[in-house]
Amino acid sequence: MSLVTLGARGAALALTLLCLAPASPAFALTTFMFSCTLDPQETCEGGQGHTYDTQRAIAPLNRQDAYIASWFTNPSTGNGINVTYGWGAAGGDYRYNPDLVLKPWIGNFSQYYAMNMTGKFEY
Amino acid sequence: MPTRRNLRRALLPLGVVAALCVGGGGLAAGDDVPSAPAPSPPPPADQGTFMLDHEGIDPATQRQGATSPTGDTVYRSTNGETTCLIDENGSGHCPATAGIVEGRGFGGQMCVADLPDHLTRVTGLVPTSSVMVVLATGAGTTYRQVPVRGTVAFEIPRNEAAENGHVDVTWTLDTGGTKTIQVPMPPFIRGMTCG
Repeated sequence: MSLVTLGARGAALALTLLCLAPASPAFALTTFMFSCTLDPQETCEGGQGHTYDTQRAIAPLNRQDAYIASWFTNPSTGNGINVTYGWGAAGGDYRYNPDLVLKPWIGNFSQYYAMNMTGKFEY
Repeated sequence: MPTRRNLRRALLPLGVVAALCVGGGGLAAGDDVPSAPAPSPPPPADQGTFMLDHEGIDPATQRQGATSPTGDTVYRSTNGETTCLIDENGSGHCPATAGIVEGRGFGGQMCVADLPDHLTRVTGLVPTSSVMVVLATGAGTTYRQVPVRGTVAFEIPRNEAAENGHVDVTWTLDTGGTKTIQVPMPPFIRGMTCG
């Protein structure tokens, strides 16, 4: 058997194995849905324990007359990351921050409200 | 290696000079107020648009607004019913358009990577005919900014912003009229630890 034949058979075998191999899970996108009702300063643990890569989250609110804030907390330190506040809706870009917990706050000058949150993390 | 952010920061001083030349303070009698700003450069290609997606606003409607003292640029966009102010990373706030004249166009950020921990960035939407915006804290300090396309981006110490639980913002229209509103500050603004 010549070296040329061996090379050709090797190439064919490699191609066969490549085709039979399952798709790489590195490109799979997992969606984690969350829904919770919170009182001020409580925590919505939507993304806890997961690596949060290139996606972002928002504290959704269809009430334009309320002043809200949203942020993520680093569970290892308890510190806030990208705290964003404003009227109507407020959301921060949390890319590149791993393992986060979403926390909302809602209120106005004198009152605070519970807040319904739904959303998703994709990672 | 030069990055887009570095390039922006390198060009920022030129932008500030240009803004000052165009804005000229805007309050002195007889000053010309530019009615048609220069064409708006597009937002960064990697800007997050999740806020706009959430509100149903076409990202193509974004127009470049003010640049904060540390170099964060904000963009204004609208679908008519809702107007958003988001920065070059996509973070921001989206009030009802009708609420802007009532002072509901303001919000802010802290604990973000491009802002020192002791500061809060107070960003706001004001009527596009505004020529000057003054922010006064409960600590007695004031900050002035010429709005760009009806946007401002202040950066103030968190301990100043926390005084009285709000800051006062006054804008002056090109007609000479003024309006003062209170912008609430979240109660955690003084004590929250970043990072």
